[in-house]
Amino acid sequence: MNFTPINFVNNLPYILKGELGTFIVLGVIALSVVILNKLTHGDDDQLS
Amino acid sequence: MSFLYENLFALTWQQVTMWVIGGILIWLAIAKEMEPSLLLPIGFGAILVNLPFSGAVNQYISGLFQEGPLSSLYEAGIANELFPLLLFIGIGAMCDFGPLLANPALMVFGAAAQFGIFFTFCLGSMFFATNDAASIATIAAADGPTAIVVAQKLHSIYLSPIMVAAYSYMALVPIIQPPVIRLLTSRKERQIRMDYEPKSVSKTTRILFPIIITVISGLISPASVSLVGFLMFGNLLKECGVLRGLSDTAQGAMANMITLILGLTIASQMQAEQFLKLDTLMIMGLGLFGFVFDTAGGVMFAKLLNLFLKKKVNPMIGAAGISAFPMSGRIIHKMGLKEDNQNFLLMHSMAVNVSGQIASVVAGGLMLSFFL
Repeated sequence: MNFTPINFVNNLPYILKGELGTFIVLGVIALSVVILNKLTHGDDDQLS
Repeated sequence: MSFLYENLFALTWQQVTMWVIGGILIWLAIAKEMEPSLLLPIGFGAILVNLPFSGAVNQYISGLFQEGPLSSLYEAGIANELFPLLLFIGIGAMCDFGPLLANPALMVFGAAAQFGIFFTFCLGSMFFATNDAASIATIAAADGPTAIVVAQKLHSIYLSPIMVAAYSYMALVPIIQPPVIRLLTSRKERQIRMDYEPKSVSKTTRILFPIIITVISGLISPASVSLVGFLMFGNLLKECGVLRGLSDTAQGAMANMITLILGLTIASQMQAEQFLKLDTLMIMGLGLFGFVFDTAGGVMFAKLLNLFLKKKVNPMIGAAGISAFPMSGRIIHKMGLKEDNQNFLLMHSMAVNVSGQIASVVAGGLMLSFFL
């Protein structure tokens, strides 16, 4: 285990990449659900 | 008669320390009822494997190799990621995505609450190699199976402390989250009421949802498709409506069985000479840090949204975006009731909590995409 503080700065872009990636994937999934809900509305609906 | 006491002289203070740690885990499981299904086997296993010349794990005694059952279980089910993935089928069968499907916008909170993973990675990278830092950061996903799979795939040498930290902190969610939430929110914010209007979700949507998620996640991050796939397969068992027996088995007997074996197997990696190191303390510290920042990320994102929303959200629900399901959702609901006994946040917090389940797997998959 070595202490290399510069790695913190070098890896900061991963926070942006990671969070952005997660938001995009979840966003695509949410959008799919919205479309799915619209397409299948009234088809054996169950309250949630 | 020396055979009665000769092993006693082989006992080390490190092993006794591990007994104490095991005892604390058992105490938390029984007296505090914190995730007893996990902490009890881990605690007992920690004592079991730290007896001098324990036959429960592989040992060389007088130059002769002796195979231990817990080491065999480790090779059979954790070294190849089988147990965590099988457990995911059970978790998937337990998850009700209905409230989330009725209100898919809540998924953003699950995404926001993964902040701690990526921030902890940056912190960890100051002390550990990149693959180890990424594996350690995944502890913050509050998702034991994901942490194990990521650490395995990235060939982290710290798999055992990562497993122990991930499962221990999952059990400690009721202790870790409330103070962080209280620190970041005012009483007025915690009292914000969120009306819940039940919406209808079609059976077709419920059935197609797990399949679509598997396809989307698999296309974006093929390395994590087993994680998402097993989770969603479990959910499909539940939602298809024609496999009630399999669904009940997956979320009941199978999940209990795997949890039991997983707990004991994790403990096989808690041998004093491997576990009592400065690195382990660092990993436990970073894991805790990640949990705190995941919680903070979710809460702060909800507060940020409130600056723009007409109908405010209770920022506490952001904290449910971690993957510890269903503990985190329940905690937020209880905290809401504590502030205002007519404030029922359960459906919102559970929806965010299941979105956290998906988001944590996605975040783990992204870690694999970045560093595999």
